[in-house]
Amino acid sequence: MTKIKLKIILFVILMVFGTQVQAEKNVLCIQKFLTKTVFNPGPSDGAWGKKTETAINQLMSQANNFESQNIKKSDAEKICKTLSGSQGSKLHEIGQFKRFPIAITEDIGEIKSLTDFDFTNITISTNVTYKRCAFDIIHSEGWRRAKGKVGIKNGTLVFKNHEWYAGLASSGREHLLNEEANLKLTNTGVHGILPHVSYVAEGEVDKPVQYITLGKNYIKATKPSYFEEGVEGSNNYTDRYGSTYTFQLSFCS
Amino acid sequence: MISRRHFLSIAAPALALSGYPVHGFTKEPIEGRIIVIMLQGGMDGLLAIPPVGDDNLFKQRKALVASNPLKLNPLFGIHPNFRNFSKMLKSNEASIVHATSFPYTGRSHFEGQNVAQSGSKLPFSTNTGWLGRAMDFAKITGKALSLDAPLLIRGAPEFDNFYPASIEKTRSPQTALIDLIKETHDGDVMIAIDKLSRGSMSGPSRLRARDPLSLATKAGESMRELNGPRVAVLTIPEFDDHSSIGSTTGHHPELFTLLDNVFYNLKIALKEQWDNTIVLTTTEFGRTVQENGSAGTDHGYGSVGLLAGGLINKSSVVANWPGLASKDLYEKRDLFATIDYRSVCSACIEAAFGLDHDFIIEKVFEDKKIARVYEHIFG
Repeated sequence: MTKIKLKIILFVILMVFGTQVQAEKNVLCIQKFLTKTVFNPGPSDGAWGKKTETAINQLMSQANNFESQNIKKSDAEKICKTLSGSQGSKLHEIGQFKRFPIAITEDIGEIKSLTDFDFTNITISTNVTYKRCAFDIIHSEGWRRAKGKVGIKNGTLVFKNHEWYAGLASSGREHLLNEEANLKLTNTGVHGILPHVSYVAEGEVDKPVQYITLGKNYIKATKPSYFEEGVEGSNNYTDRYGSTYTFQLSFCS
Repeated sequence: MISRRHFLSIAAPALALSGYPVHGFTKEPIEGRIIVIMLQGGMDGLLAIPPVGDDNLFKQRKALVASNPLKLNPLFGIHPNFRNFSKMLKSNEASIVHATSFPYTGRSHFEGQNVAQSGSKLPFSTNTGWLGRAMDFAKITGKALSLDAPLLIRGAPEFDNFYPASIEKTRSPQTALIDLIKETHDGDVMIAIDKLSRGSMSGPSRLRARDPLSLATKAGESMRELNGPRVAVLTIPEFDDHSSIGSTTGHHPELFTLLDNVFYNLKIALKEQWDNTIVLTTTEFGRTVQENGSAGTDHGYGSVGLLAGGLINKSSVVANWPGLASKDLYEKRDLFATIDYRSVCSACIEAAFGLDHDFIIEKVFEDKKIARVYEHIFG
């Protein structure tokens, strides 16, 4: 009876101890693997500590595109098998560099231009449709700020494509040019006559949106005769700096 | 054809079901596009992507940190002028590689740019470029656009680096390349290229053709064609801000806005081809961690690489962050580069051209020690 009891106790002790040794072996296997990566497991001592747990969770999370992991000491055997198996070399490769996930919580917001141009929903004349017209925005001093092509569909402007021009930085109007179509011009910076050529697919709106408000102020041309009455014409508007511009449509077909 | 992005969106959940899986490496053939934006002069990576979680940033830099960077994660922020790029990061279409550089520490623009273009460790040791060689090996020579030739080196022998290595003895790299492309295309593509040719070669339009925003649009429009070019190289110069570099506003931030809009214009113009595209920036070196006496920064070592395109599956900042304490700096003044940027170039070639990493590092870069970061950027 005593002998049997002793044997059982010894067996249990061996089992527990053996399992513990095996567990330590698995932890050591993980730690040794991690020391060859950028994820620091702390000392390779076979003891499952906070550092080891954090490091292996970070590695496996990175390998799985930042899916959160919850690897515990009880998973050590499974993890050791993974690291020693066919996925080991790939995990080793992944472990050479750290990836920091993107977690943008702030609102990036709508990207707005400071300009006052908005070509959307400009009604020129109801029930008028033209496939293509040319438009220009001319500064009061004569230089063209923008040109491009629009269609008119049932009286509403529809972008075809357009190009935005900025004038010479040396003209002394940097305060205007700074806001010009996303381009900063300085006397020493990106120089000369710089256009902003922006691709705008048909029916789409440029982004950042260029705002201009014409609408009801649009002056329908009656003269000269080559402007078709009610469609082609021009409209003067004044920006917040007091500069006057002319928006004009021409060559509708 | 199923795009790689779509493929991964289907494949990823399946992989996640199998224990502790590693996301798959796919090599299904794609007609990938590579666009390189060369940021000439040395971009200040710490101003673009400030490590706001590193306290030493604010100890080392008194003024050259934007007052309102957008926080990407606990360690990194991004300059507020990168609004389009930030949106791409949020929608898993962009990634950042930080504390990186080509293997060049000499701080000379000419040498640094040569290393960045040739992919060699030694400046002027080869007369071909890494991208041109990769195109040759991938058998896609003759379909490249280098729309914005840096004026200073245009026509010089090393400028052939921008083009497929098989294009030699060009009377003018730009005209010869466009002629070649015209010869190899017909229909609408040929007409588009012809317009581009005329636009870039004549009168006042010459200025227009070199404007990065215009070029981005033109490149994207050409590259989205079925048989359009698969490679483009754009240049944004003037990053060499030894004085008045700016912080929230100023010259470098203005260039950030320009770069940000180039990314945006490329995406819009490429349309559905964006899904098969990777855009990456290169710069010859970073800039000093501390500002100099003129509110600028001088030539340094480590910088940052910005990548965007539909080939990216999951956005992140890839970095083995070396720290900004004085003891952690290269020669006690520069951000240490812990990632060889040629790894990033290799990953882009692998993703867009389908070449194997080991082949790329052996044949294209002739350096078998270049690590693979494909999984970190495209995995």
